[in-house]
Amino acid sequence: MKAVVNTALISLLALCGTRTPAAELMIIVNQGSGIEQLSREEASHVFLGRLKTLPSGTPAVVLDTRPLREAFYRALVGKSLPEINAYWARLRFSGRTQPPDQIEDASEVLERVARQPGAIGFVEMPANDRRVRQVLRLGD
Amino acid sequence: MATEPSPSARQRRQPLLHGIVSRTTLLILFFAGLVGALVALGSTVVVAQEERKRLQQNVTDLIQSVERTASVAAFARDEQLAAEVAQGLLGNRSVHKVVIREGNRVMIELGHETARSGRALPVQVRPLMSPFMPEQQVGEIEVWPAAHRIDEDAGAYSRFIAVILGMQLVAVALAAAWVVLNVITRPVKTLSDSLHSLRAGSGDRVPVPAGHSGDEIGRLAGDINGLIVRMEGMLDSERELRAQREESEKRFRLIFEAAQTGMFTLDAEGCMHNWNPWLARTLGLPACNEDTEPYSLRRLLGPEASRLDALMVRALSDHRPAAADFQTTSAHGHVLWLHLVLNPMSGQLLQGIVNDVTDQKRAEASAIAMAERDALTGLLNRRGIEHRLDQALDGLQEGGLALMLVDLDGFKEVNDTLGHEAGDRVLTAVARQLESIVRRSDVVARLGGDEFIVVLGALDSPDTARFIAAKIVTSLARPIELDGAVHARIGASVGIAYTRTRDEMPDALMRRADEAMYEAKRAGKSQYRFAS
Repeated sequence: MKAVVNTALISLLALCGTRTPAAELMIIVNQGSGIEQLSREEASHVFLGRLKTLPSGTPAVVLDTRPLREAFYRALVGKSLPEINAYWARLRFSGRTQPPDQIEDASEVLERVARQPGAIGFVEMPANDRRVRQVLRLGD
Repeated sequence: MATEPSPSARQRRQPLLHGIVSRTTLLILFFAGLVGALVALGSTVVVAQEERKRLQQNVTDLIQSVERTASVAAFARDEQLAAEVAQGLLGNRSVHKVVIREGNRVMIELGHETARSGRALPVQVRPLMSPFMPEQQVGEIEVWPAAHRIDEDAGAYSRFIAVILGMQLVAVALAAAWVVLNVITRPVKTLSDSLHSLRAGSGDRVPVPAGHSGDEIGRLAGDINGLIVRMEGMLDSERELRAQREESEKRFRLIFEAAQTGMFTLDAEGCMHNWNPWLARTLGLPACNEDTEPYSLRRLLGPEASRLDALMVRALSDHRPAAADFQTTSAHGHVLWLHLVLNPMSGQLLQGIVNDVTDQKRAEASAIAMAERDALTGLLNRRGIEHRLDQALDGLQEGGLALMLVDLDGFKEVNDTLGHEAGDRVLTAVARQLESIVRRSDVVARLGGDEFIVVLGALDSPDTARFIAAKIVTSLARPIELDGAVHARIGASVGIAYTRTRDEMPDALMRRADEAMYEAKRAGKSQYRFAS
């Protein structure tokens, strides 16, 4: 009975979600980043601060799209947002490793990735913007 | 306890007071200390083991508590965070050194290894897994437990136990000392002091220490008193016995010393060892005491010593008293007759009893002399002449012996006419005349009536006898003056028997003289005849 209620709630949330009901996300980089593709592990290392540079050697500027974070991290490492926040909370204490900048608007993410060579971020599919390069698609 | 004992007494008594107490206390301290030391040692070992376990568990728990943060630090390659974790761990006193690796790279190494090898605990290593992919290892954490702490902690714990035990030990020892002092030593010391100052034989008793009447100390006091009573009884009876012995000894000594009889002991050599004052006085011996040298009785008796030897041999061999008379000289030079009784004692010793029998001897001698004399003339009588004749014959050596029988002629007429008194005077006068004629060594006797005997000894020849006989005949033929003008006229017939041998029997000699005398009578009287 409880499972049924949960399923209903999730469906409702999905309906009430923003313009994109489907959770298809794409990791994007600057065209001049020097990388064509990114493995899932490389992506998780970059987004969780383990790698400070992109595989090409360019220092990474990691950007979070706030509305998509929940879905993104679940898709990427299978963790909930509180878990991710707790993780960063530990690291923020040392001050050496900074969490990604959190940006409200997806278009702004696109804008910054297009502008900064080491920038990396994620947007909803479809993201057919010529200024950025799509390197990893996340989704079911 | 109330009076202060003298210094010497205190020195003597102090060890008694402190001996048992200090010994008991020291023994308790020793054994309890031994046990305490063993307990402390054992507890050190056990505590050390427990400490090791605890330390290891502690380290494990610590690692567990920082594991996630360490994982994050390793995952994020955040040396700062790793350093924080390591410092946090080192802040705990169980941790000695921490190393956090990311892959093969050492992110942080804090603390330093100890050189202690034997005590070292194994380094705890824990893999650090990725916070996001639990199957992926991102690094490891190594933690060295602070093994040296174990010894410190265990040592501190043991010291704590030792201090507690020591305090308990001191308390127990003090309690034991107090108990021994009050329950045992004080009463014993009281007893000892009472016994020490007790005067034997005074009737004093040892008082039972207060509160100990029912226990062993009370029994000890009772036994001591019983012993004192018995000892005093023994002392009394001993004293009484000694007094009795002294009394009887004195009595016997008095008997010995006051006796009017000589007493002495004699050894087998004839030497006197003890003699009483009477003997010393009588014989002129030195007073006998402990230091007196033995005095030879043989020397005292002089020529009679051989008889003493015979007497001693007889007494010793017959084992019974033997007695004999001895003649000796008194202290004042008188002749002394002693009656000596020797009584054999044990050990070849003789007991001697001496009595002065000089008076008896003298009386006896005079009685004998009286019996041999004629009361009227004072000459020897028949018995006396027989005795002397025997002696004269026995003593015959050189020369001859003549026996003359003198019979008066006409005496009967004198007796009848002038009376018995005149007769007696005639006899006395004849006796004197005969004595005046013969030598002093010759013997004159009256046989009885008017018969006389003259014995002449040591004669060169019979002629001497003839000459004397003639003299007698001539002398007696003269008238004998009686009272004034009254004269008695008598004569004498003499028979002579002569011999040169001692084998001649006195009776035979007498008979021959008698026959010769009758022959002279028959021949006409007033003449002498020689027996053939």
